[in-house]
Amino acid sequence: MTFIRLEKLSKAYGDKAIFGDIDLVIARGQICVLVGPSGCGKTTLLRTVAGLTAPDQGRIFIDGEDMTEAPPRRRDIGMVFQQYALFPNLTVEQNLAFALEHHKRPKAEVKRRVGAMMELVGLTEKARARPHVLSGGQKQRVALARALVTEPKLLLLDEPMSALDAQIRKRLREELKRLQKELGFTGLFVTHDQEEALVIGDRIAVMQEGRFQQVGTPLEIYNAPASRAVARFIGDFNVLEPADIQRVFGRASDCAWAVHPEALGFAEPAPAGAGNGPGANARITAVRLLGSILRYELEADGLSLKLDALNRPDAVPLPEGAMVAVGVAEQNIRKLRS
Amino acid sequence: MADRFSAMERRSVLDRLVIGVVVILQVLPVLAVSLNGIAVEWSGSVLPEGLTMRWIDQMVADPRFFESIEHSLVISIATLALSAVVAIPAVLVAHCYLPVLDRWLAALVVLPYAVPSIVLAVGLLRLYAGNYGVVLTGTPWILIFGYVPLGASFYYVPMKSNLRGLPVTEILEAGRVAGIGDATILRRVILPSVAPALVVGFVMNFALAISEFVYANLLVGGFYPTLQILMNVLDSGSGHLLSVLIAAYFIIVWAATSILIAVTSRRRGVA
Repeated sequence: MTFIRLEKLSKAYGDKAIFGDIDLVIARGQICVLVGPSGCGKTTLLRTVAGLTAPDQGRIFIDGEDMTEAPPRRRDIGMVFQQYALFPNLTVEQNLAFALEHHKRPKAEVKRRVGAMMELVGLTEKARARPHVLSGGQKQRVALARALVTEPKLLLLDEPMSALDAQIRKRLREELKRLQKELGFTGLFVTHDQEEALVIGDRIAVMQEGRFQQVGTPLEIYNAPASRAVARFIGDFNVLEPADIQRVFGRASDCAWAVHPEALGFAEPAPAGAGNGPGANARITAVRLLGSILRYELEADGLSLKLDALNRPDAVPLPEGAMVAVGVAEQNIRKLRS
Repeated sequence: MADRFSAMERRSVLDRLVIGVVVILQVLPVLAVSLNGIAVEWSGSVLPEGLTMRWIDQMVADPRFFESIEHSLVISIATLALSAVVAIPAVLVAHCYLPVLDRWLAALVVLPYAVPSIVLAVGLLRLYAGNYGVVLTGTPWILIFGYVPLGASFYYVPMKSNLRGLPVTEILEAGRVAGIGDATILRRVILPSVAPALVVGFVMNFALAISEFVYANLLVGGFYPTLQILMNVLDSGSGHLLSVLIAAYFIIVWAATSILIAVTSRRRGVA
């Protein structure tokens, strides 16, 4: 069931278009992630949905109601800001209770909701702490709890994890997904981190230069990028132009190919695609360890390629400078028309 | 490890020594002036030749003493209140909503210090002498209106420094999204968060108004004698009486500053 509908939204500052022609539908209880490089307009779009920035054109519907002109307070939203925007002079408990008390909710209800929310995000012990003594992860959880305590229809998150280190980010992503399952809120999440987008999003909208390049589920976006721009941004694809394909793989193609690094395999000793797909000879220029993955950087007739191999405990990495045969299975080639 | 510890200990002793010397240098003149106020005679010797309450009794019996204290307190409290009412909202509004105005404000608060006092005083006399429809000469208001622009920078500089450390725009937006108006957020979140700056502003404004002489002498002089004017009058007479007056001045400034800090700190605690 559609909960958010954006129709032909556009915004410009003077001559500079920030975003345009934005159509988006988010179902109730889903998290949609807006992902794209810095400056692509995703935060402005989020602020437009929040009512903090007015669109130049287009309509915003929330739960079937046209909210395009409505002030933020009427939209029934919660928002987590990039720098958290916690109230620095108030304790964690007071931060959460502030809006409820302002709206004259009964004291017993305020206490119950604040208590429940602090427990949900694991901050009961920090109830009387002020924001400046909290860690980045704790601040982020307070911001999330403050946004959720009013039980908004829609939760907006503006790069809420960008200031955190990788380990805490990973944990908080899982926590956010758990909270969404428990509370069932609808969310619009902005990030420039493609991995974060794939983990958090029920749907992903890839945005570049103020336009949606592709909207779909994480699997659709990752496995079937619609354009070169999406392939380059999501999944770290090898994007091969027709001339490169002809020269390196000896195949004629009327469109570009996108090949995942993990879809490219060594022809010797364990061919991933050689035999039933195109292959080429390449030289290993660098080997990098990415945790469970070994990333080989290759050079094949002037073309740079990336190849990911599973880093098994018994695996012996091939040396830099070695000549190898690489190949890709036909079904793992994504053809890009734009 | 032991070497490092003893080096730290040596440094700590040195730190305390330096701080002690600074404190003595600051306190000694105050003590000396106060002691002179109760000295029978103090010239040509390290310590006074005897102690007496005579100078205090004489000073307290002088009607100008309490009059000047009253005048100074009226001027200081009025300056404090008026400059707070004018400067604090102006700094907040300029920072939060009008960055263009903020640049002008930064220039304006230093302007009174760039102009010689005599020029400003003559300008204020001309402005408030009825040439532009406002007559304040001969009243304490001319002095208060003279001090307010001078005191604005005491709010502006520390407040700006505090506000720069706050994500004010995001805090206001967080309030708007939650249905809380800007006025409530400014009053209950932003202002308490810059309370240390306000304390500095209050204390500095009070200290300016109660200790300033040049403007007081030029703008009100004998019409509305303040502590500083009386000090100037007594300067040509008894040094003991002047010492009593200066000691009283120190006590008033210390008491008022303590009250200001206590009140603002308690309010911060409540927020």
